[in-house]
Amino acid sequence: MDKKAVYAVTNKGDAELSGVGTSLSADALNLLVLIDGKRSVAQLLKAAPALSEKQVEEGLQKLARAGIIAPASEVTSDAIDFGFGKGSPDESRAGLESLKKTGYYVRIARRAAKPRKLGPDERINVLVVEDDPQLAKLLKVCLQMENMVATVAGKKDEILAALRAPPKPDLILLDVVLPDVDGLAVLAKIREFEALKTVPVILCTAKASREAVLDGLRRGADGYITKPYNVDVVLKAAKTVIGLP
Amino acid sequence: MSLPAGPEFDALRAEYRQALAAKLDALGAQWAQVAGGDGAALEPLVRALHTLAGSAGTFGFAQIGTAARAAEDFLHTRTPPFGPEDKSEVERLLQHLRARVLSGL
Repeated sequence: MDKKAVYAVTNKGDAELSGVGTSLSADALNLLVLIDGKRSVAQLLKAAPALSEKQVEEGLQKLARAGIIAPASEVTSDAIDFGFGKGSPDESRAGLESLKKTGYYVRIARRAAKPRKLGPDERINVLVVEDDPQLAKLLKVCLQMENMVATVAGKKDEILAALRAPPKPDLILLDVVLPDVDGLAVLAKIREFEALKTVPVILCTAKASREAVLDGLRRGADGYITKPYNVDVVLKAAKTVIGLP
Repeated sequence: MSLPAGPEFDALRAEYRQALAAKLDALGAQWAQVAGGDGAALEPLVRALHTLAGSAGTFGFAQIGTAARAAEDFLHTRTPPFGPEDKSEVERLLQHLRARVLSGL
């Protein structure tokens, strides 16, 4: 592996990050989030300490074979700059520092392993964890329009009560910055509980940096949508992770 | 970003617009606490700006979201107690946000 090589996200890769329907593995998705057309492979290795050199090498090969990334010199500048609003052209220290920049924008939703077919009277239950009351109401209205049942929780006690009360949610839309609890801590708890660990979770948050996206995906989120968003994107992501057409 | 067309969404957007003044007042009160030396008030202020930055654009008020994000980003780089220059910058950013909110009402 040439550690000086620099890869960039192609238009196809761009679609993977913004098309709310990816089939990439968690490792490949993490790599894709890191690739910005500026970091070398050596810098990618530093920025992804959880991945071994072999995993990075195989991941890059897989992404390149799929046409999702390509050597930076072969990718148009529009694709190279995708999603990185404030990127500096010379990031000699391109490691965790550059990950912390805001302005990154993704619409990631991992496709459900199996399609889901609803029975005639069956409805999808969605737990909306959102502390902005107007935004929570907007999501609830939109989900109801899709014939889904939405429960809203904005604080820790409300979240706990909603998770304990039947029916078990089919999907959780989870804000990260909440008044009295960290959404990522909520995600960790969900992934610990046997009854909830397989429930798809989409992080819907204004935390918009590569570092935040990576952190959310590593902790087991099935999707990551940065705010502000179009509600139709959230609905499409919801259906994707549930397995609905 | 904008909401889909339809009376339900028009009503939700109007409700959000109506709530903006109260959000702005709350931000002003939180900043007054921080500027007065209450460092513990900084975290809720930053969180409120973060929430506004995330929601405003969704309801079609992109400039309000951008102004809130600018204030949030600045405060993320500072720790209390704030000196005169930092206070002046925060007040400038909040004034800019206020102007964006008022133009959106």
